[in-house]
Amino acid sequence: MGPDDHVCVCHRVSLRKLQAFLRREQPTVPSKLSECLGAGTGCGWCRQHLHRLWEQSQAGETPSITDDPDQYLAKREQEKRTKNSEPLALANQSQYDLEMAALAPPPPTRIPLSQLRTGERARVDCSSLSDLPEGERCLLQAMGMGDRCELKRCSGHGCIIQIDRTRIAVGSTLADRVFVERLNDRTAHP
Amino acid sequence: MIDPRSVAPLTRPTGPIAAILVGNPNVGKTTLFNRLCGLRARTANYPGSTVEEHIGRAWSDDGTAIDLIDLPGVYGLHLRTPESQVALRALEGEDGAPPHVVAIILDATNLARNLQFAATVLRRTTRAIVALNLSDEAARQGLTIDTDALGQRLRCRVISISARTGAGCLELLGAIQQAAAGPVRARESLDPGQPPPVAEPGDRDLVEWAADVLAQSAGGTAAAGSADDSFTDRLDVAFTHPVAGLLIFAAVMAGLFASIFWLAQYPMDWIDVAFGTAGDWTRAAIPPGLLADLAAEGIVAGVAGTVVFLPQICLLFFLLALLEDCGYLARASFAMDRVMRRFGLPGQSFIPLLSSHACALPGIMSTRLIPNTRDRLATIFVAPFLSCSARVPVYVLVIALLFADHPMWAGVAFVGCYALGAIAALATAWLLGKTALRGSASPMLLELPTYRLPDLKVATSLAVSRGGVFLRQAGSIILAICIGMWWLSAFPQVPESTTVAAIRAEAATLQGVDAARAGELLSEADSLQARDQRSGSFAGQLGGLAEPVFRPLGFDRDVVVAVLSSFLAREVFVSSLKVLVGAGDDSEIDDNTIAMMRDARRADGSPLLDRPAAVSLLVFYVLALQCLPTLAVVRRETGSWRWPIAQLAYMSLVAWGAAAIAHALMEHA
Repeated sequence: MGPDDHVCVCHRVSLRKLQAFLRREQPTVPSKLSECLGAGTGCGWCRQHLHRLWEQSQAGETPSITDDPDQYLAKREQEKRTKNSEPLALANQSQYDLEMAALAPPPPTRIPLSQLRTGERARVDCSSLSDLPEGERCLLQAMGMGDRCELKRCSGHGCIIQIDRTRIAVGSTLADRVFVERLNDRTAHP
Repeated sequence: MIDPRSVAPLTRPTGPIAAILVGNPNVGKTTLFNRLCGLRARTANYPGSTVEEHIGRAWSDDGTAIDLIDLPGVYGLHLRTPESQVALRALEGEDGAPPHVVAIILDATNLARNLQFAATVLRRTTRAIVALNLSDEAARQGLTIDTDALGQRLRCRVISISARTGAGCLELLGAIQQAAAGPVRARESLDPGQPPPVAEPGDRDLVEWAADVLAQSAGGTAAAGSADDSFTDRLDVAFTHPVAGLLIFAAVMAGLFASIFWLAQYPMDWIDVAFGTAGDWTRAAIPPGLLADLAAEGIVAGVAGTVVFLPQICLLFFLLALLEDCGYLARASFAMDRVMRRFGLPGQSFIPLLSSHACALPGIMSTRLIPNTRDRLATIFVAPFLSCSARVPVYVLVIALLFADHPMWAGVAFVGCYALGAIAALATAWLLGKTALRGSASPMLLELPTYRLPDLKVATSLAVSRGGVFLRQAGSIILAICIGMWWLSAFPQVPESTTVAAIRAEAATLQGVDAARAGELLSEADSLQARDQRSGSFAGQLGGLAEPVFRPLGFDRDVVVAVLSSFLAREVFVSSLKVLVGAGDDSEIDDNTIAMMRDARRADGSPLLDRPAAVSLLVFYVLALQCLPTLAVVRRETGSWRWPIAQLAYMSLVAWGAAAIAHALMEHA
């Protein structure tokens, strides 16, 4: 499997991104990989592979998957269809699943940005950005409102948000059209 | 600069090394440019657009001249804004000659986003260096950046600088010099570890890449410390509060305009005196005759009428630059957005419109604060409706005529004039949104920069460059039209009438006996002669032709001549009218003037300005666009004659219609 092939097919997370995430964040538990663009939080099939990647990185090896991409996808299709997939024998599979379940965000409440309360954090729903006029969408993205990015609302009167270190004033017409998912404090970045 | 296209190509830097500065907005690029080039910079419109670029020259340690071009700050090179396209064209070199070096200025405290921009620029250049501005602030926040590691990933030299303190600036110039002489890097050869994806800022892949680079060179985003800032939060809440925010804004603006009026009056007086003296000298230096008249009345007086606004313009831009630099202006625009939006205007248009109450010129020039073209056009279109200071003498005169004995009503009428102008402006903005500029104001989307102490140097250079732009305008197109207007009113020359000759003869006989009486007679003769000239000249003949048009407004021929003579400069009206009624030819308004106005009669014996005619005259002056400099500036800012012509036609029509209605109502009242 090449670096640009998707390990998590649901969220289109490539092997390269997971490798970079493992190198950069050095996660102490495998479930932390879900913070890499939501890997493993879709159908859940790829968790076995995510776990193996994590194990490889813990062992100091380069995380990789030996299956070729077509084989990988075919296996996924088949196992999802039959539903009685035989997961790879992993020592702490159950622990992983438990952690995953605990970390998986509660069913996302999709609200307009304008309804976010002062001080609350949220994750941008990128599909709502694609409904915006092109000029505003491109500008928002270039200002830092990227795919799945996290933001904080700083002021209740008028919508002032902070993304990373950028503070943006968003007019009410726009704040009604950008949708976000509330984050509870546990998953929010410090 | 009048027409960016007609004077193109813009003189490209001729120095041995040409470098351009690119970066996101609010990264301190302008401060850096000013630090490197001082006030020697030139401002020019980028060919074919109204986007400004600043060109200046800096010297490296060994005395090599480096020409720097400061491009407007952009968030991405793919955006459909004029700024973005200008930046892209400059990077790629539009005539096949790309700049020697591209200096990418990044905000060291906000690298996650800035690195994405850097990647998109690096992909398009062969010789680049990266300057991390605000590195002193980053260090204060506890962020350490390994510039070598960052340089290895970006495949170019990275230098930490602080434009505010000047730290690293010389090193930057040295690096530009070295890069210009150094080898050319292939556009593709980027980041040996993991090349950045071909994407635009905000794209998921590029965000990932930037995070990865940052993790290697700065120890991860968390190393920058918490991004939360409760002080900034509290200030933002106060400044954008629906009530407190507007009150603060009102106080700041009141202070701003009070200081502009108060501070500008002195230099304005000096300019007045200086041009008065210059006019006298011109008259003394050139033998009496047409040439002297042309020089003194056409050129000197015409230019003086425009240049007198220079102090107000420079001061306004200086103070606005301070407010913008400290971070307040962005918050104020956001607070005003809710109010302005109802009329189809964005929050940023409030300050240009408010400035237009002093003079439409700085108001229209400051519409550059508005990012969206549609919103900018709408604001420019309605700005001249707001009562500028040149209308005040007309208001004073006509209101004194109407309500001489009712000071309270006079006050109400005065406020009413301002209100009428404002209502017309907002209604027009609303109407434009339904017609020519269909749609509502583009949604507010504005980065709120960090609060900082304003930089006096940046503000000064902005004021100087705006003043320069204005002066160039006054020196070219305004001068040409002044000469044209002078010609229309000076030709054909009307010979002295027998009455005037008789008065002059009487004055001559009295010369030795009663000098005071002789003087009076002479000035009466001059006044009569001026009146004859005014109605006999081409301008006067045009007035005669136009009289039927103004009949529904209740103006007689004399008033029409005065109105027409002020069509390109409304401040001329008072002196024209005084000439008409024989009260001298200056623009002072005193009780005597008003009494003479009231007693002035038409040919048929009825009052020259009865109540209906005075009211319609007032309404006409509130709404009409009688200002040549405004038309010239609108031409410059919009890049075509279409807008000023449409504006002149629309405003004249509205003024005429409203004045006719007012006249009819008053006659039937």
